[in-house]
Amino acid sequence: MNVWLEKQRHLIDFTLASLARRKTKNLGLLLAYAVLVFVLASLALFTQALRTEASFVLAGSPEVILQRMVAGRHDLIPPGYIEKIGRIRGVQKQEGRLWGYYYDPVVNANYTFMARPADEVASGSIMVGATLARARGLAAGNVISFRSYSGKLFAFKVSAVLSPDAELLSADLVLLSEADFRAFFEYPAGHYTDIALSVANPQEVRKVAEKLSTTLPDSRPILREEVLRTYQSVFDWREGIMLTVLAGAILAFAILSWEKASGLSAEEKREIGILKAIGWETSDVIRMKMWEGLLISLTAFLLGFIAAYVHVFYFGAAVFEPVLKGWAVLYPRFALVPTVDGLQIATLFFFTIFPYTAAVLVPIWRAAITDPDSVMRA
Amino acid sequence: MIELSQIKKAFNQGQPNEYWALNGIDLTLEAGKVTAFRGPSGSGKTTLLTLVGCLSRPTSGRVRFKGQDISGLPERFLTEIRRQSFGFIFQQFNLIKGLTALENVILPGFPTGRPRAELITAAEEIFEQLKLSHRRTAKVEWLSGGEQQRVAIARALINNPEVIIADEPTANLDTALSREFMAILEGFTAEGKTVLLTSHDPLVVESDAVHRVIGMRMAVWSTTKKPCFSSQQSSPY
Amino acid sequence: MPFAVQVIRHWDIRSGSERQLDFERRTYLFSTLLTFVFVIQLAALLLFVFNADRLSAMFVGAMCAVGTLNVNDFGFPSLISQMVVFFLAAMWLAINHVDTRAPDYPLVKIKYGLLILLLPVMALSFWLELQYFLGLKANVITSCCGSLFSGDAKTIAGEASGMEPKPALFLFYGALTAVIGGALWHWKKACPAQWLSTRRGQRNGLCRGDHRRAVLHFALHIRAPAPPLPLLHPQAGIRLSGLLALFAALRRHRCRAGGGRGAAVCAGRQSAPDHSASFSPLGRIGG
Repeated sequence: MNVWLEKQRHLIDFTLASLARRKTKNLGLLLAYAVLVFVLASLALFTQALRTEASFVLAGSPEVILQRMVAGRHDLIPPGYIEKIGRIRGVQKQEGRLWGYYYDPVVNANYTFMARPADEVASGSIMVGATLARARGLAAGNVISFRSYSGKLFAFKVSAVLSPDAELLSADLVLLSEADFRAFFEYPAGHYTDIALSVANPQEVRKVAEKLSTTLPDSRPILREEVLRTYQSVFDWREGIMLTVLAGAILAFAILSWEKASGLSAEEKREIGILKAIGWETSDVIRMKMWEGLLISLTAFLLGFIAAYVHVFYFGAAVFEPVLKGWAVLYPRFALVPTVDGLQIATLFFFTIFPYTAAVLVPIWRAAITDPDSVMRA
Repeated sequence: MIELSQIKKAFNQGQPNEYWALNGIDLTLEAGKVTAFRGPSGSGKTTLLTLVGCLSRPTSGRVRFKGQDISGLPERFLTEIRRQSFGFIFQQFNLIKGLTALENVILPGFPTGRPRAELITAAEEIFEQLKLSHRRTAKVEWLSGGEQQRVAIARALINNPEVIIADEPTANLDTALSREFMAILEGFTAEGKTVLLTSHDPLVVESDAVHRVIGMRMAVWSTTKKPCFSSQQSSPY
Repeated sequence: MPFAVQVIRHWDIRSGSERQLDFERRTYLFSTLLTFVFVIQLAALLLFVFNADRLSAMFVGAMCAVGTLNVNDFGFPSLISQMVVFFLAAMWLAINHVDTRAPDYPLVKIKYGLLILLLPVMALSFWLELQYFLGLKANVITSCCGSLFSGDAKTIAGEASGMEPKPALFLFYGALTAVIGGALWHWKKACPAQWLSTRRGQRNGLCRGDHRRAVLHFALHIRAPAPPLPLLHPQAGIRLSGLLALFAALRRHRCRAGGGRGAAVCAGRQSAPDHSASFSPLGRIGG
């Protein structure tokens, strides 16, 4: 065992020396490799951060949302509907919610208006999302007026700007009191947009939803886990598109490494011949080349990953933002919470090391079987 | 020590340019002696050295080294024998550029797994003997021809082999350096090492340090007896 | 593949012909390639299982890796084929290692025979994996662990994972003792100095036949750990021994997750309500 270890140390020593002797050739490869890792890692880190963000935000939302359907379309909840649900075992709270969209011609963007209980937002005042506040130049204490769909002008005092922590989902949010909401949209009294139910035990959520659809056949329950899954799918889908585009890059990289590994210079071939003549075995040469590959991959991976980390969490993934976040007019600006996931790193590592190793295996073997007597015959 | 019987070696077998470098050679080489192979290029003397030195396998025939048949051994095992028992000095020296003299010398010790410190001590001792200690940290491409050869010799000695094989050792040296090399050669004999070399340099072949000269020709070959040493008569093919 | 057949037909270690040299050199390539396959397969297997576990959030009804693998018909066959490739590659590498210690490469034909066997298995495994990934559709309702570990169905998996810890441990260590004992017995029998000192043997030109036998005995032991288990369930064979560990791990994992929420699903013997199948296309978010 000791001999084996000592041997590997020798091989690594030699590899390091030989890498240093061929700086330019190896630097090119290292750079290409690091760029590839950088792009893939940025992508992975970014979508992972978005996913974490989404589930973080959704953690506070109700477990089940009930919508009423009329002719297959989402419709208002009529008065008395909530009472019809009655008591379902496991449901802690059920309340009607009021929300809607408002198009603001000033910035050509859609806002989400949402009614909150009077103890949170006083009548005549609103709370706005950070992105919206930025777009309209608002700060707490300002007054803003919106022209409602019926043509009337409403003035509101901004009581607060929402915390930018979860800006992704609150970007275009306007919170106002129930009375203001009904007046602004001329919402019929007693009607609600949908019903939110909170269920404490996640194991019971599906059972509750099942009961809801039995008692109210014209309704559609939406589960939080479903929303979460949809978000995940959306992010995965976008990640998938990027990956498809990048598959070409991975392939190009594999070809590059094949080319680098098989295009041994005459000097290198001679070196391997010498090593074999003076007593190195074929498997020693293969192992030495493997160490070389491993050192290059590890360095490139480390460089690429660190660069990606800085790129995503310190520079907000400037390169991918437009593709991955969507093309909303009100573009949320937010710092992602750094999350690094071991499994993700492992997967990424696997998918970058794999094409490289696969590409260089055969060329390495071909170099290693150089005839030991070749140096004598030259 | 080394016996060859009915050795044949073909290159490009089965192809139109197939040729037989050796065609049925029988030969016995003694331990502790210096044997020189002389002949024009193409006479197969280098091929013979590669066969004896476990660098390649004969197409047919037997090679016995210290009684063991090594002609049928796979490369993996040949390499092990080569590493332990043979040291090589090549015509072009074949040092690895960009490495220092010391680093070059310890290279054959890597696959043995000897600790680095031990290898370096051994290498420094050899440098001492070859009067090269002052150049041990110099890159080999900055060394003179004579120094390069001494590095090559040091490298051949690092695993303490019983047999030293030298292919045209003096081809790239001037007369003074060649004489120096022959002196080193005598030192090997004194230590009980066997030396096999190829050369067409009269200075080498006619030197007293060489005990036996085997002349090789394209297909036919003969053995010249040196006055004071007997040598087995090998039958020409 | 044709190369392997050629080797089996024309291998002749005594020859120094260029074809023989080529054969011997290709062996390095195959051992390097298979080491690669082996390492990659190990990594891929772990990533496959862990990622499947992670992905379970994406599939309706899936709560852990088992659910994700049940999304389509190729999940479990793909997992099993990957494990088979892993063990076959390990076996090949072990045989190769043993083989290259003897100067006459006594196992070379077995080795290349196994290689011929290995190639279609690897192709199949790859195909299954591809089918599985291409068939991953997020809106498929999958049945998860509840059905897999239900007490009514006498499946091998259920049996293996439902085993009490004591007999399971006893069985495991019993099998291990039997294997090690068997191996020691063989070593003692087959020319004791021989086996461990192949190199010395080679230098002294010792009995080649004995030597070959020792090597073969060792090679046979590589696939020995299976015997005691198939005795209980003859139909289980390789599948059981490999899956046992995995299922145990998955089950433990699920219990931990379920326990926190106070659910009874993980008990395994109880039939958990199949809440996933009855419902949920409704739940999709729409316009």
